[in-house]
Amino acid sequence: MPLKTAQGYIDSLREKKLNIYMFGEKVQNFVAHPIIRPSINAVAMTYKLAEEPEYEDLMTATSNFTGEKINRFTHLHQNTDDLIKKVKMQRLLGQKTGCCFQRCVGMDAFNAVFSTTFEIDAKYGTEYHERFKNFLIYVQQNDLVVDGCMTDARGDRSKSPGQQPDPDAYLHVVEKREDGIVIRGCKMHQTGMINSHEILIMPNNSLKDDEREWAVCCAVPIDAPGMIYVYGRQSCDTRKLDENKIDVGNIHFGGQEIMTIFDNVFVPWDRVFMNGETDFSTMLVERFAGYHRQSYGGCKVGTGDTLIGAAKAITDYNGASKASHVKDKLVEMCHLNETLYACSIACSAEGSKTPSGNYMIDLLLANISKQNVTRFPYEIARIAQDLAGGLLVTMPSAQDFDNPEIGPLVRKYTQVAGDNSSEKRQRMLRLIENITMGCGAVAYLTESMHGAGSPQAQRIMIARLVDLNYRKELAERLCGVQANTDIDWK
Amino acid sequence: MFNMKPILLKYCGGCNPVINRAKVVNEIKAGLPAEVMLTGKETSEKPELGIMMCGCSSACLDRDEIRQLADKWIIVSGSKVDLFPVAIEELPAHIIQKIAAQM
Ligand SMILES: Cc1cc2nc3c(=O)[nH]c(=O)nc-3n(C[C@H](O)[C@H](O)[C@H](O)COP(=O)(O)OP(=O)(O)OC[C@H]3O[C@@H](n4cnc5c(N)ncnc54)[C@H](O)[C@@H]3O)c2cc1C
Ligand code: SF4
Repeated sequence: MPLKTAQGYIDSLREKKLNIYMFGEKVQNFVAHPIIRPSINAVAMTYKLAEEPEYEDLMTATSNFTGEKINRFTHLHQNTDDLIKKVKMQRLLGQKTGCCFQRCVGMDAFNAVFSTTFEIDAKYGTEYHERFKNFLIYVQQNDLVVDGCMTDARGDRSKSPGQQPDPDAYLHVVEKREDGIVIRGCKMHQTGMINSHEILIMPNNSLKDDEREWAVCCAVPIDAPGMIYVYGRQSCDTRKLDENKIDVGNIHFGGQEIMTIFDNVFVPWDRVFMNGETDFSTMLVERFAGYHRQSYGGCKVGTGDTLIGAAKAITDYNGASKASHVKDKLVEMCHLNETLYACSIACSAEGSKTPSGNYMIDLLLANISKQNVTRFPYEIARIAQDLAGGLLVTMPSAQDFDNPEIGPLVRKYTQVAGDNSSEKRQRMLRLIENITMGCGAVAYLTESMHGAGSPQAQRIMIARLVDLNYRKELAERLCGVQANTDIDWK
Repeated sequence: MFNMKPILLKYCGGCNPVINRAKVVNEIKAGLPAEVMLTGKETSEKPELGIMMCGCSSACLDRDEIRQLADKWIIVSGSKVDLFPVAIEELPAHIIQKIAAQM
């Protein structure tokens, strides 16, 4: 059966020999590295929950290719119910990990590539779709993690790929051989990259007719020759090196983003899914971004649930939870969080079939969902910080709490209401700190802003997808500027 | 070419359409030979062809009980025909072509 265990997944990473740099040095055993390991644990949860009967309905699906039970992260959405279950699965994982669990970008990428390759083939008679299907069956059969790889270095933002002084600013094909292509460039911010088995590369944006070398979609294994990985720093990341983990906040789990350099990487033809079809790059980018905008109304909501829980806990510990304004603030956090969820459920329920047979979300509602995600987590975080109090940012380190001389005094003066120990408060404040300004804020806040496209990208889509003239006509009919032909009674 | 059998026309509920469904239908009618009839009425004889005219991509009309009403369907869902994107202004001409190909 093509389902890996969490342990099997972690062991599969141990086999990889990767060229990884962190703090200017080469990382030898990345699976055991204390800064990296929490991110591996987060991905491992996507395997662990799929093994458990109480979560399998969300976490697994039936492959439309083989009829076998597969992890939902490797599934092509077959109907709107699958789209809804995807969001619910992401919320569940956000609740279980309180961070980015990294496996969604690949799922969103291959749902977009599947339908786009079908349409490229329909127009040009190419064979990309069949190749991609074979790749996907391999992914499903081996329960692999796939990195969804889109964002280029991009150089001067005012210039398109073909206008950049350095053509490598966008990943491109530098050589065509009989047996395949060679690609060069750099993809930034890659979520969960070194925790993946495969990389699915896509073009970053709309392309002009003469920008064919940048219109490339293909897959390479994580350990392909020429791959270089530079680990992204996160705020407070070195706390993960501490012996006492309390100051990390989220002690088991974390996210990961990697600057990923493709230094002349060879890709055989059977893994090339687009090669020069510039007229399909917009479709691929919009579909991938649409799916990923839907994703955030799941994962960020799950993390939001943990932050709301932390805010509730800290007000209980502090003895402030009975105050009406405190209760109201918790209600406001829930209202914002559930609004995010509602939008992603809505864009899933309104999804539609693509010509290739898999299902797409409603693009407008997905963009509305993501636009809210660029704002509401910040407001939820603001309220959490309000309820946490200033100790959130002034608390002594875990080592001071443990110190035999000053530890008892530090604990005495951080003791709060009832018999709640100061350690509970210490842990909960560190969790709030993690999510709102530490390692966790990378995914909960800044990724909410920029991931799947900065806010303006959604506003451009909303402007394109909403028919303002239709709405103007509605108003004109109501106030008599236009005759109301509906009224045919006396 | 066209045969003269009536074509069944079914509309979605029209909650939040991204196309003006009635306008598209009027333009289709205007572009078809006068003898080809678009009708919303179900008759005892099952028509060969039907058009589902849905205002947006969710195509909520596309259900089994509707599919049973005709042998073949052209499904318009916002600015898509049979799932492939078509520019809004090209919808009527595109649908007429499809009707001609199917009858
Ligand atoms: C935590 C995190 C995880 C991510 N994970 C992934 C991943 O797994 N895979 C992946 O492919 N990508 C990933 N991304 C990348 C993400 O999609 C990009 O960050 C996003 O598209 C914005 O691009 P940028 O960061 O280059 O910002 P910029 O494009 O530099 O944007 C910065 C600001 O400049 C504005 N701007 C940009 N261009 C122009 C212009 N031409 N004219 C006017 N204004 C402009 C923007 O609107 C924005 O306000 C991730 C990002 C983050 C933060
Ligand atoms: S940010 Fe959210 S959607 Fe993206 S990979 Fe992480 S958990 Fe998944």
